[in-house]
Amino acid sequence: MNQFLLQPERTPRLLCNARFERLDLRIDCVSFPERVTLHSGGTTVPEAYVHAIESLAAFGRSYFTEHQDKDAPHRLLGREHRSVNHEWYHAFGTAWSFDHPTPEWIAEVTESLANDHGDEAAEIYQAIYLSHDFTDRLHDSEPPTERRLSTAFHIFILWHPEILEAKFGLMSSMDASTA
Amino acid sequence: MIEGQDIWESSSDTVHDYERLRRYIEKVLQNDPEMQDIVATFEKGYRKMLRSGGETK
Repeated sequence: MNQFLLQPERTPRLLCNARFERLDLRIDCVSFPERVTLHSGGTTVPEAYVHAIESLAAFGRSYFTEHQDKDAPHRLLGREHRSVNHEWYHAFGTAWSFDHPTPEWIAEVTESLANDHGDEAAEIYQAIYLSHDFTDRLHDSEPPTERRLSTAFHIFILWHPEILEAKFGLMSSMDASTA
Repeated sequence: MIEGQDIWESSSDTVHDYERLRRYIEKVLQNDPEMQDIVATFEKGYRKMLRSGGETK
């Protein structure tokens, strides 16, 4: 049985590599003194919907189907699924790092994609090729229990359009009562 | 097929995108009571923060 005491300084954070800026969301005022007991070990990789929530927050589109397609080999390969479709993930430490997540040439590639294939194609490139792998790397160092908490925090954020609006400028036309 | 995938369709509209993603996760959570409890814990903390006059910004 795993036990995890949530402390304010350990509040899981939603980190998005959005438009080449590391977007650090932290609800500083939310503290959780309750002890949370996790009975399951959790998943070994972030769920596809976690990536979709981050894309929705960062880009205004979830690109859920694209995230699912990218991780589809997981059903056969498990954690080894990243041997395919995850080139940026494997470029960590050489082409990029957490301190420098987006080399300057990425902007040129994005602009080229936008010019040749449209803005949405460029956005999908950022969401699926870059941000997805950034998140995978970010969660690599987390134990499964902490990843479960992070997943729950993503869901919590999705449940609250008013937070999405305040933090990401989304859903301005959506009634917060949806939550 | 991933559970709930049948209700998912690509959408160019942010709100529809949001609603469909939400419906998908709600369906997933039906089989994950532990995750429901963890989310509820966040909800509890959030409500407590709102009652105390805190802000999300």
